[in-house]
Amino acid sequence: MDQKRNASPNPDSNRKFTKTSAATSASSSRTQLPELPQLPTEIWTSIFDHLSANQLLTLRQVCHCWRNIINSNTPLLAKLTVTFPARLTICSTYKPANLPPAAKVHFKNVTITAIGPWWTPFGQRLTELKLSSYSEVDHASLLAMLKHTPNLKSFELSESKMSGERPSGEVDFRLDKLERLVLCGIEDAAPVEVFRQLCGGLKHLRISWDWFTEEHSVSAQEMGEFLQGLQDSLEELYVTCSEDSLVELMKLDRLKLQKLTLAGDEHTDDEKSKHLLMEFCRMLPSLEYLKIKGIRTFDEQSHSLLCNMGQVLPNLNCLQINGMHVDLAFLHNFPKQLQTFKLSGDSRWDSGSAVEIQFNGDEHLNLKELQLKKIHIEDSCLQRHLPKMPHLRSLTIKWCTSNFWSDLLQPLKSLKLLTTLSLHGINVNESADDWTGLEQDDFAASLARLQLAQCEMPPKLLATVLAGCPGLRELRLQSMKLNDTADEEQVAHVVCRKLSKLNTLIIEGCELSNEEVDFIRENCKSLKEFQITGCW
Amino acid sequence: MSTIKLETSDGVKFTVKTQVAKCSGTIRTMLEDIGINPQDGEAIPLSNVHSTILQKILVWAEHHVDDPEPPRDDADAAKRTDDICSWDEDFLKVDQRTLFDVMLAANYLDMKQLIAVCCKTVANMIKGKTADQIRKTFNIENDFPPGDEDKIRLRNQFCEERR
Repeated sequence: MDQKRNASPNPDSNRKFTKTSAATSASSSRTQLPELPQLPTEIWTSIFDHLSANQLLTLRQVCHCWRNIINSNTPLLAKLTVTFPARLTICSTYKPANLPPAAKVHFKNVTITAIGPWWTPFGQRLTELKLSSYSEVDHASLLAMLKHTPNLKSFELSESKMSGERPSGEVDFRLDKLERLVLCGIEDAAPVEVFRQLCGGLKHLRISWDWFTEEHSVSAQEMGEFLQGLQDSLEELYVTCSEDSLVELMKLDRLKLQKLTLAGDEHTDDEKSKHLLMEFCRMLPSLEYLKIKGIRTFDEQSHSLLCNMGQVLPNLNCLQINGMHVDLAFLHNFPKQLQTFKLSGDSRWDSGSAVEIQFNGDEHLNLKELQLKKIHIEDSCLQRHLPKMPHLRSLTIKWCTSNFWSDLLQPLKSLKLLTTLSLHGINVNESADDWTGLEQDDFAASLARLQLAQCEMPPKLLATVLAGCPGLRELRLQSMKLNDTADEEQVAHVVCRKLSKLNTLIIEGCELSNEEVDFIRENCKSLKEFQITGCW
Repeated sequence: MSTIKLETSDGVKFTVKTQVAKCSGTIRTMLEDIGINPQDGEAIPLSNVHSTILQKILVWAEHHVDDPEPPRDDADAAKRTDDICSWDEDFLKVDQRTLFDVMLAANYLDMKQLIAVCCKTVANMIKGKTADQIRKTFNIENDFPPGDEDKIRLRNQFCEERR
């Protein structure tokens, strides 16, 4: 079998198939034909299906045939988004020229005061409509627009303003295909009332009002009423977390969510909210994904609460919380399918106060993805904990501090399945840290993707790190500060010499000499994608 | 091991292991549903496939005959183009004419995996190229009157994604 796998795909000698009659006409005359055979539309469609929106736009310019293939194919058109230019004002006389037949439309920083008849045919094919980034639309225009989008699946209104007179009376149409609704950072509850009447089958809802707190802001009661009608269809909910909203959520006894995000700027910190949260979790045993951003911290006192949470959520596979002084041993109370855990330290945390994580469990954790953010990592903490997570495939460390970053690299050796490592905002103090023993060592042999962003480290160290990951396929270096430029070329040399499988290299916002770029281009043969942006 | 005979458009007969031939959905259907009996010694006519292309396709089928069924509904995996195995990559290093003929034949023979890998290969040939470069690559005539091309460019401006 091995032999077969290694055999050349083009065996000219040793033919496997016996010809029972001879025919010699073929190849010589055929190669001279200049024109390629016509492929059926469905094959072109599946080829184009692999291409991005921008590439599809280019294809539209190639020939009539290709343009027609794209224009008549709904899934391909669905990739195209029409984005109206920023600071545009759309009034009753505005008529866009040359609108392409896209299925998605995005108004970014656009003011809409009235919508003309051009919208009616254009709206028919839309599946996605988004207003964001300080756009402004009056109530009547929004309704007029929505009335002509019967196929809409997704609507988003975020960080935008509603103006004009609030609608009075009932809405005389429905959007029955709408599955996803985002009302985010709006300062007016009117759209909530409108959408309560418009849609009944929402699956994904994101509703938050943490940006503005104006007089008409959405109240927890209004949100509760809205959710009442959506209980049976809703699968995913993203909602601002407050004591009031938790109380309203508890009234929804038919809710069967799979994903829940409790957002907010960490307003809520009292024990009562945590208790309510716990009760709410008990009502949602189907939950697979839970992100709690709106509760400031879980700490030593929360340990038993977190343990209980694990017991009442048997299907959870992703958990994100804010925490200080947390003992990760509570993760043992979660089911084996918990694969992703993200822990953020307190955003008010300053480097003086240590936010420690511990891990007192003896058993292995089944985690596949771990993210630590804004946490001070105590000495040898990672060295002790990481080997207890042998199934880790992805590890992200953001804005954490530690005296000994070499502690991180050593235990990577025990993570045989780790393929992705991201380090953001890590400052390595070379003199205090001990890097000996790491040189000439493949400490992360399984690693395929490495991202280093806004880290400060000597280039010599970066070279050591890269040399230890011989299986890398993708490397991203973003805004890296290499605090000694003398050894810089080492990095380029390591990339070319040691990383024989590297096919994607992306460098953004780093200091980089032309010689190095040329050196990499010439010597790194495996590269298929090499992007450099914002470098000097 | 059972074998069957296939006859190509140019009258060439191939004797092929049944298992290998069944990589083709078309042949599988003929054998299983229509009930063509391979023992009869009668060759199955493949009137749309030339012998040079069938020869090539059989090499591919022989290599992939033991492949597991691909997972269904894996939308992401289907969209990737960087996951062509190196054997297939080498296999498809052929002139464009042959590549397109292989695709047509694979389509006729209903060989989904081979079509998929060919589509990825062609997609990779398109990626990163301008309209002009694409026309050159595939020998396509620009059949837009000059004004029309500008119009499409204007339309496209609404959709371009800037990073």
